[in-house]
Amino acid sequence: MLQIKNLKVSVEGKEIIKGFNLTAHAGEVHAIMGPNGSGKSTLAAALTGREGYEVTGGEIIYNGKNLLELSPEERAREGVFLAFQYPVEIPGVSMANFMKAAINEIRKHRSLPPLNAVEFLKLMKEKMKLVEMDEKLLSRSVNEGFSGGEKKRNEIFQMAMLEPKLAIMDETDSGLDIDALKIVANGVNQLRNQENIFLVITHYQRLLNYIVPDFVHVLFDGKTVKSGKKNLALELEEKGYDWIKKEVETAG
Amino acid sequence: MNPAALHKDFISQLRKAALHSFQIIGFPTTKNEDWKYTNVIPLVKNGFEPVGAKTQLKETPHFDNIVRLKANRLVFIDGFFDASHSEIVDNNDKVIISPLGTHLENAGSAFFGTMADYNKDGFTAMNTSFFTDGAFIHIPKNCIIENPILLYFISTEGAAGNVSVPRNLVIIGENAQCSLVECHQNLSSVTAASNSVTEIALQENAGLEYSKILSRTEKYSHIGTTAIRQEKNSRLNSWSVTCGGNLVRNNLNVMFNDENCETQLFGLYVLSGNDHADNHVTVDHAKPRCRSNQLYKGIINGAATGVFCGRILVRKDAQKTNAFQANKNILLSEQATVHSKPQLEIFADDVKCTHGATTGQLDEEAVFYMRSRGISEQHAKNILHQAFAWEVIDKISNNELKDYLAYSLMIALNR
Repeated sequence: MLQIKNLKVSVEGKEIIKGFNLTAHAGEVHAIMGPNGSGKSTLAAALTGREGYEVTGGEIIYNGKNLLELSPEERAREGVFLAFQYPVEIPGVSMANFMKAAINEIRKHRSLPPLNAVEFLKLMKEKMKLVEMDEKLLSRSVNEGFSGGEKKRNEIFQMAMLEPKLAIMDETDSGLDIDALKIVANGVNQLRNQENIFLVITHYQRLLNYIVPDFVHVLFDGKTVKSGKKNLALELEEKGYDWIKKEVETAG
Repeated sequence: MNPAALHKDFISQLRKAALHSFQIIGFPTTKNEDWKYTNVIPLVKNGFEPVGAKTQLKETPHFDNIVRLKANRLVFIDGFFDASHSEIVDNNDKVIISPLGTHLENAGSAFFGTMADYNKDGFTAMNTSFFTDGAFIHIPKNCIIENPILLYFISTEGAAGNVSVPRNLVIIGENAQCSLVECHQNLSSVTAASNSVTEIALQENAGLEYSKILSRTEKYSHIGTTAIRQEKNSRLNSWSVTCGGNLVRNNLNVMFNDENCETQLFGLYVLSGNDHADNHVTVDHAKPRCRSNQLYKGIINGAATGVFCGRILVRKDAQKTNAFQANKNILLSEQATVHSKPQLEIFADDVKCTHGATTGQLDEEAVFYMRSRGISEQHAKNILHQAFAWEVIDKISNNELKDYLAYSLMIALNR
């Protein structure tokens, strides 16, 4: 279970998240929607412990643990995974070596022995199929020379490899054409199960046609201003974010 | 007078001339532009006397892993040949891989002392005057040596406080090919130093892979010059890898003596603590239609200092020259320093020359990306450092040597 209570996050002294609340149970998919500048990516950064994102208030309790006390790698080993909006290129580090280092650190944390070369390769190939990724990319440097679509698929591939318990997708749909979007969504849907939580951060409703959420939260000016079931996303698509802005202004 | 005596006479004349030159120019100071960032005075003012005699070792030194490389190996202890640990695996009557001492008479005055100029550099003058021993390698025409030739120079307790002075001459004949590895190490627990000179002549259409490695460099200072002369259509790939060192200076001078030569010069220095390593590379495009490429990279931590000076000289006649140079550095601490200095002197008009230098910190975005996948911060940094270094050593064709370098770099990065 994930509980975010009255979370406040500042970047360079400026408060971006101004009291965010969310409760998610295993097996649920929560969509977090909001216009540009509402704090969506800041929320993702705070959840994964990125430097420069200062939590000034509130708490994040995840499976009984205070997530804010853990380093980014400790969070990952506890099952937190972020699919980056802008995946990072790492010249000179092959996908295979990168994934091997990651998976073996996570296995070590779970008191499992490291995978041998054969097991590892088998797992890689199996998971690549999930997102229809070209095997040639395995020997290439991480994200280097990947197309926009390949980078996003690579994020879902890594998610599949590491089998997170809390998967956060930060605007995974941005820059994807409809075919790539379907492939990515299909991969994610296969990874959904009764034990994991998905937080799908997106500006547009489009992705939610394929990854159907259980709950939708609307983030505006660093706060949740509306929560509902999946049809809230459709309503948003229809009425636009101005509708929310007006509601907030009226309420204020 | 018989020819042998004549050559002996030649060597002693050369030593005398070099000594004379040394007495005039002496050791360089930081007022000398080429030594601006490297102060050798503290090194040379005390105990920079050449090792006088071969050390009688009480026990076998604990050799480094590099001796496991399958190679034609010549071992030199404190500048003197050590037959008992040397081994030749490629037996070929025509090939000479031997200590200089036994071949000095035949070494060929046509080559010896003609590439490393003792009139311009005090250390080369000292070496030419006082060298004790070294390797003489002659790969004759059309001959290809399968295994690398390893010249392994070690300093031991026996040379404490003094400087070993090895000298090598390598001649790669027409159409001949080989791989040469020159490794300098301090295996003692005391301060040691060496001043080495290697002269290499590549005859027409010859090919050479040359790796100079400084590993096991604790309490070690090394001043070394490699002077290479390339004849028509010859090809050189060179690697210079420096894993630390109190004071290291690698001079690499390549001269194209005829047309259509090609050279690739790679370098890597991994420094920490108070290490100081200075790489001076000069490529002399004296003739037309030659191609040179330099890629030197440094990872500098602690209060260490790296220096790279890459000089490209394109003479008036050297039309259609292609010359490239890049120097990339990563500074891992506030106190780490690098001096990067390109020097392009171009006197021909139809040439392509570019150079570039970058100095930066480690890519923090990449570190975070890796950490977000469960990789510890230290492990992530190690992976990134190795990736940065790998670009330099990746093209080495001998996998065993590459493995050794990867291992040495890992140790150097984690000091």
